Amino acid sequence: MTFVRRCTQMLGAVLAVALACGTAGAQGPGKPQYGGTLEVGTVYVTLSALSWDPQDWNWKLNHDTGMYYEQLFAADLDKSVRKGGKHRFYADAWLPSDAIRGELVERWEWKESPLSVVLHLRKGVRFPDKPGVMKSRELTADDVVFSYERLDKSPKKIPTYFDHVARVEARDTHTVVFTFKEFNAEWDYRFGWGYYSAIVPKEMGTVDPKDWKNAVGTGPFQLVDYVQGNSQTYARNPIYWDTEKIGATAQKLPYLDRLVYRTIKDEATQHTALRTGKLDILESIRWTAVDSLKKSAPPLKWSRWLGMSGTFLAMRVDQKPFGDIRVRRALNMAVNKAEIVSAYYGGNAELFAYPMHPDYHGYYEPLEKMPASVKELFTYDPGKAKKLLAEAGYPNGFSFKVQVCSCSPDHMDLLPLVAGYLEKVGVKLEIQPMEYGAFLSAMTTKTNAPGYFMNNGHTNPTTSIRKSFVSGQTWNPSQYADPAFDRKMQEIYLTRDEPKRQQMIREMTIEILDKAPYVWLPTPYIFTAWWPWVQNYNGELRAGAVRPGPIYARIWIDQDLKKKMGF
Amino acid sequence: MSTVALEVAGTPVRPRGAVAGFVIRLVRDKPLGTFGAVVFLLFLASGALAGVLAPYGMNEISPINRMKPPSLAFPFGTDNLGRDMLSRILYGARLSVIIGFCAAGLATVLSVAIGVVSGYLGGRVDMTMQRFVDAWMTFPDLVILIAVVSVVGPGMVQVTVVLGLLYGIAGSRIVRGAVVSVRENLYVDAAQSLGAGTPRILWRHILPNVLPPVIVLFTTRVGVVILAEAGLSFLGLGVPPPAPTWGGMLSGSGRAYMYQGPWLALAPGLCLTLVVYAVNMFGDALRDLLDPRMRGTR
Repeated sequence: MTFVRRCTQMLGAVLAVALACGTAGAQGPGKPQYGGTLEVGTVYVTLSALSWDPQDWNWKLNHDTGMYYEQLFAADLDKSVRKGGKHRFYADAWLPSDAIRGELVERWEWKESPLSVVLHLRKGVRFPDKPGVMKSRELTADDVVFSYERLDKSPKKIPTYFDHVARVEARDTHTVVFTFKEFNAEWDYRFGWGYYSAIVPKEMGTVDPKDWKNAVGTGPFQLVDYVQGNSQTYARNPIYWDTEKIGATAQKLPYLDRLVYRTIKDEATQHTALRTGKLDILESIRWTAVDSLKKSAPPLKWSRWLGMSGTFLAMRVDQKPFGDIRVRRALNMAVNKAEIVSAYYGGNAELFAYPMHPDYHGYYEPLEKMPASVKELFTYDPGKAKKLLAEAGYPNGFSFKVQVCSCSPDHMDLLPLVAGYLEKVGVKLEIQPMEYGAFLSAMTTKTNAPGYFMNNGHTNPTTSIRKSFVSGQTWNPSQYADPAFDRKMQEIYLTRDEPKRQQMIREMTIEILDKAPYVWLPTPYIFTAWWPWVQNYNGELRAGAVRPGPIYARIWIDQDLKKKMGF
Repeated sequence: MSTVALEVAGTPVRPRGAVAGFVIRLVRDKPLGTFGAVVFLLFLASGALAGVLAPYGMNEISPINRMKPPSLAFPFGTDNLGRDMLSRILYGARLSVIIGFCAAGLATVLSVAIGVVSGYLGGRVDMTMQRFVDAWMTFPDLVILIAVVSVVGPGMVQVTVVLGLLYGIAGSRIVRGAVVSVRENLYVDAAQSLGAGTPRILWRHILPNVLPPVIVLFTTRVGVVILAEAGLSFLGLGVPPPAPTWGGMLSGSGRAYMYQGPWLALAPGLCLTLVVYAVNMFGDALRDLLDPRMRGTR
């Protein structure tokens, strides 16, 4: 009976979609509907929140708090493909300069002598009531200054992150002035729309900010429930300030009553949840599951995007044998990366897309334009690999430990494949799977094993190089350290001319590729799927650095369609 | 001359032909047990000879051949990395044999050590030791396994030691029961009267007479440990990849590619089922045949 009922539901769903598509085609996106709950398997579906306090300098914070902690700037979602623009907004932490709008900031202007930027905050933006924390009041410049100083004084701050800032002051209730020691090309990313830019109320200084129950912000949703390893629930903020123009009408945001992040560690369970309508959106699906999902849930809508993080095996260059560049280059040549693209990823990957992403126009150069020494690293040549290893003093190979996060199904499959290739040249891997907290901690405390298998977000063109290859940086698992390289990076930040910066980044990219602190691996395409009742959405993922809040605020659920489809 | 075993001063005399007689009785009276024994022996042989029998290496990747269904070239098909499933099943048997035997062996040694001392000495020693065993047994096996392996980390040695400790302590109850019964025999009193020390009595008189239940305990423990290790591997806490543990194969590619390649789950799942069933049947038969009360019954 269950099978028959499921078939009937599917048939009804297909008919309903056909009806909806017909009417939608005639009328455009339709009138927003208020209400309902959106259940999302996010792009980090296997991970619960790692922190609620911006002072922890945790990379995932925006993802979990970005529904209520807003920022000075955010993505201009009116420039999305969905609205006739050219931006897809799936990059993890990259906003092209023509796709940034003021979020809490209404307008800003640069001043010289001293070099500063004056930010004029929007008026009428309010924090809601939060019993035990604060009464509802307007956002002021003091909150922005407080938020910045909390971050700056944190013992967990990323080294050099705010070194370009001389001081931050509140000129009046709605004006903040950032005075700089020197220009920094990432000024708006560093404290504006980046990973560490959340604006919190001053009252956070009087309560425990690590307790999710104290969370309160100016954003479209407020955190109302958290079950570690299971779910995070956000409820509509009834006094939220922003609107969206649909047609000629400014619609109040958000449309949803509730938004739920589901944490699901098991891949098969994620797909089942999507297939059965328990999830409205699943943001990260491997290519291997796409055909089966399309067959079992035909009404699903799809988007495909090139991963915004590089996959690699980092080798600790401060330890033997990886201090020898010949060993590092040998391991690169021992892995058949083209076969990984064609066979392991079924063609759904790009051979070369890290550390520069193909979307970084002007910064990215394709492999064909790279020097021969770089192309060699992406060409399978186990003979040359063995020769290099012998020259380096390892004619019979060697073994080393590699740490990998068990939270990534792709890595748990890919690393044994890489191990298989390396075994053919005599290099044996001792694989150590770890849960995410321990895995991340190994890197941030610089105690990671000689091999460390990970993804690292592209972020943006300059940060992609800085965070992974500048000495002492947190996200530098290979412990790569070259003072000359560091100086070049610093020069880039001082360069105001973007074409010149692009040229410098291209040169540094070639340099670091050649030095091979990583076994560079292909970047896969990833799929996002959602049910047709999810409206005003086209697969967008981030409206800032790993921050989807503004995107979810603009989604509404077509309840009638959902019922017609039997869900 | 009768081949009935005689007990002289508590030392069993093994007549010639006892082993052959045992095998005949097994085949004649316990056909399921015989089947179990044959499967178990095949499993042991496969594991021991995996290096010879397997047509491909344990982690011999061939992405171009990924997800091929069973065929002549690949009798059990290939997995998502193009590895031959038959080869991985055989190498997995070897891992299971090693872990199963080592962990069961450790468990048995521990059970005997605790059970014999506790059962023979009795009194306060017995009471204290058994209260500890009681407390240990209140915890669900899997919860302890997960907790300990999460702390010490996954790995063959860690899994073997943890499984050995877990089942060793709990199994001491069975040995203690047997020892308490044997302790009351006259030959033990006789040995004590003759001035034999406790170690000599334990080694020469107690241990040989509790050997039958210990043997049964060992064989059943092998099956339990193999299943427990599969459970840990399934949860990602067993021997890390690319080691081809059956549980890990079920949990990894078996589950992820269930729709695209059902053979990825069927092969290790069926092998696991068959081996554990066989071990249990053999253990049951062994218990029946070695129990003196069951002698003379079919």
